[in-house]
Amino acid sequence: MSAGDGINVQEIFARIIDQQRAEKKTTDNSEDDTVYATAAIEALVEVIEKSRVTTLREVLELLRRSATEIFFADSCYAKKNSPEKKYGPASRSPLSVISACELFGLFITLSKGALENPDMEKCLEIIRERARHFLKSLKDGRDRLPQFFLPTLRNGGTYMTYSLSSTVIRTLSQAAEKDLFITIYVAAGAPHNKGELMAKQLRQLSAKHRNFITVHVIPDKAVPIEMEKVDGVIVGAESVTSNGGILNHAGTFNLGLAAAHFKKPVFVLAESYKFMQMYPIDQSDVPGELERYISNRTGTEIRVEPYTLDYTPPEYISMIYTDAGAFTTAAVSERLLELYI
Amino acid sequence: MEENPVQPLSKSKRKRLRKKLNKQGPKEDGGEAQADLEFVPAVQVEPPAEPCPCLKPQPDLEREEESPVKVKEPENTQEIPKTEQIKMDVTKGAEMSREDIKAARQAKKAAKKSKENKKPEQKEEKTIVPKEKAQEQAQPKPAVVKEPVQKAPVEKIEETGSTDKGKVQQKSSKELKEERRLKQEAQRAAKAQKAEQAKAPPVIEAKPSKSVKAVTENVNKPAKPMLTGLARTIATMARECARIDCNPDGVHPAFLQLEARMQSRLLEGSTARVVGLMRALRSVINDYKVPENVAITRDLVEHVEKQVAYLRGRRLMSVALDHAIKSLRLNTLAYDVSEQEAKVTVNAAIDAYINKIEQDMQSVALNLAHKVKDGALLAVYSYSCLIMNALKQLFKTGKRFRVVVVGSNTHNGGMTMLSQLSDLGVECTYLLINQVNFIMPRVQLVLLGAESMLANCSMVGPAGSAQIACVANSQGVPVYACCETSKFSYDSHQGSFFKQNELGINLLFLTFSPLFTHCKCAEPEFLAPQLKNMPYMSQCSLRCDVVPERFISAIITEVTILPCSSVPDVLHSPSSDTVLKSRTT
Repeated sequence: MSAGDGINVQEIFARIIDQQRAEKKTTDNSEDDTVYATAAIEALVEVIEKSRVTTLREVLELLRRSATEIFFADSCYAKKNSPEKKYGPASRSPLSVISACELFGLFITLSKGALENPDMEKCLEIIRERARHFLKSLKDGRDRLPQFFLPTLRNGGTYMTYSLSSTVIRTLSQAAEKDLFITIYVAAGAPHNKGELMAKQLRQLSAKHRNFITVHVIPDKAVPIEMEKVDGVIVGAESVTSNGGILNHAGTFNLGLAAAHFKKPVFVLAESYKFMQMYPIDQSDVPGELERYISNRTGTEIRVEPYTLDYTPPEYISMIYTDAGAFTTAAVSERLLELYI
Repeated sequence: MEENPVQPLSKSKRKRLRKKLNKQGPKEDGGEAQADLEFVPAVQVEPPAEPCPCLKPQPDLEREEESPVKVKEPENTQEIPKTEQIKMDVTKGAEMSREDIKAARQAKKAAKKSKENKKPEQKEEKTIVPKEKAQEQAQPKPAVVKEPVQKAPVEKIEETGSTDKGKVQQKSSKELKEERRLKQEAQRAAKAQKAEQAKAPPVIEAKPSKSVKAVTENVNKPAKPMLTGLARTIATMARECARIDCNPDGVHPAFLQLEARMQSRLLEGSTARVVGLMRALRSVINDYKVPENVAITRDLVEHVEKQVAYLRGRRLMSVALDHAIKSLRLNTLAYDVSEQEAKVTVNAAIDAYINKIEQDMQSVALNLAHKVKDGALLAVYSYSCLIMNALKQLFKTGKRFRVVVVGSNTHNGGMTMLSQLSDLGVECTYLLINQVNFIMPRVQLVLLGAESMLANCSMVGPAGSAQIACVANSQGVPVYACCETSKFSYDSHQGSFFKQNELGINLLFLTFSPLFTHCKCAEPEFLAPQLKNMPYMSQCSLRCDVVPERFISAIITEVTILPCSSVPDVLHSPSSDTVLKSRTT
């Protein structure tokens, strides 16, 4: 696949991701969604620069095409370069890549007046500038998020979380730095059991901060049992839909249901670039290509149906904390309206 | 209405009767039994000639005049109160069948004295009922659905009427027998006559006899007693939403026609109304001539305002209509513009707006396409131009789906939808709103066409929408409101919705027939005649309905799919049209 002009977007994208990994020397599993999002946007900028577009319309067209290619490239990349054994199946979801690319497209065309310049070089310069700005806000966002959420955490409180979420880990590490004593129950998230990874990372983190975070791993079936004891549920999200629901690792909905039964609040931590213009009503509304993509990622020989994503409706979510502040579920659509209308 | 005498008998009673019949046998009054046996075929012969007596009011009325039976029962009519008599005259339901009923009643009365009489009576009923049912089944499906609706009120009245009669005449079985024979002969004679006369198709033609009209007027005038309690409150509320009549002088015929079409529900749904309004405006503008020594801008605005005021006086101006009128920006015409130029500008604006509506419809269809899966079963209520268009598009793009069209008998929107969908080739089912509960579990999604969206996030739709949404909600079926953002309104109706509603024609007690075409439906003569002289009854048939936010899963707009809660966000968003922002008065 190529986005015209003989540029291979997917290759660029893969290279950038490799670069980032090399820089950070992180293991694959600990990298967060932002890595993919930033890589995607850097790839987009590079594509625009390499291509010999002459009009703004062409730029937009190119962006649109490249974004879809990156979306598929991500899946290709995950399949090609990373055997399932290494990642564990369903190690990454490209959902936030889609929303980030969409947002980027909006961001660079925000004021078309400035881009209506006959000199394409100047336009590209503006785009580059904006891209830099966008990437910066993307990276800063990660660090801004905890400051909105931490006041809601109770010192000595008990919380439950699910599977692996880098955003949750980062937020809890900040909590530990602030000497909050917290007990965390991590639901493992079968069959991938990424909750165990989460627990491992949290323990490492806790060891750095005088063991202020106590971590328990519980099987998924024990969620309702432990739900009684906790003060609230903290989950990350792959993507926040426009009605205020979230798409997250399959099983999040179960947590939401259990929390609703015990009247516990559910807090979602997600950067605002994960807001997505999409309106699912029920589980089957998760777009078809995503499902298909997800079902490719089966791991073991004994085929456990690879449900990796589920949709949690806004009724089960108390608050969504982002780098732009705390959002009620209804406010998400307002935010998206501001952006897209 | 031969079925009627069956209704009052409960199942258990019938069983008992059957038992008795088996025990005692028909020996004791064989004559009576014979008479019944003779009587039965007479009824059996009837159906082929006359598909359903209640569908043929006209011939029956004629027959009433001609039939000698009337002479036969002078004591009856004397005893029955005057209103009752009028009722009989007015009734379009088969007079003949009423006589049957009367006879049956009498027989029953007699049977009370001598129990033996009951047996043949029962027999007669049994034989008749299946015939009636078979008749019904032979008709198109909707007829079956609607049957109970029309029957209920008629039955009641006749019941009360006949008890009086029963008391008066307690005849011996022999007398009865003779009477019945006479009646049968009369019926046969009438039928023969009718067969000669019957050239009209078996449709209720919109030609109610003038006598009927006169009678109803007479009845309605004196009977206006004080209404008490709930009835009174509803009556006052209904008065609230009754529009002030406006003087039609100087109103352009296009607007008169528009209003009439709105009233008769030919123009159903706000999108259709907007388009209708724009077309009417176009002819107003084209026929407009500037008076001398007057600035065109000012006069044109006044002229148009006058037309609109007439409409506003008679009909509810929905947000969409207001928005449409404002979109013309008549008051922004240049001061020194010539008549021709003004016409061109306004015409262009009208074209642009109609164009925009069409575009919006396309986008709504595109957005809806995401939500309709292949092979889905949708439910739609009443007629909505927007939904119809969207479904048409979906169907043309090759999506397979089936539709349950839900209608009500206060308006014909459902039927319109049904006919258009089936013309298209979509698999459809038609249901009345009272049966919607049964189909709902199988439906994947419900589509409601919105008249407007209110600022408190609730939806205004055709009367009955709330009911559908409520049922769907109770069974976990998603409800989508289809609405363009131009229909989003700043108003919110926290309390009574009556003021903002529109009083439909009192079709509440319409004698419904599936063969009605909608223009006929609109004529008040088609009220169930039995209800015309109910002094304590006040009718209130509203056109609109408010669906609360909690029943609606999402709004499908031309921009995107939105949650209900973002109606205010759209209204306040900087990009939304400034025209929208001015509050409707």
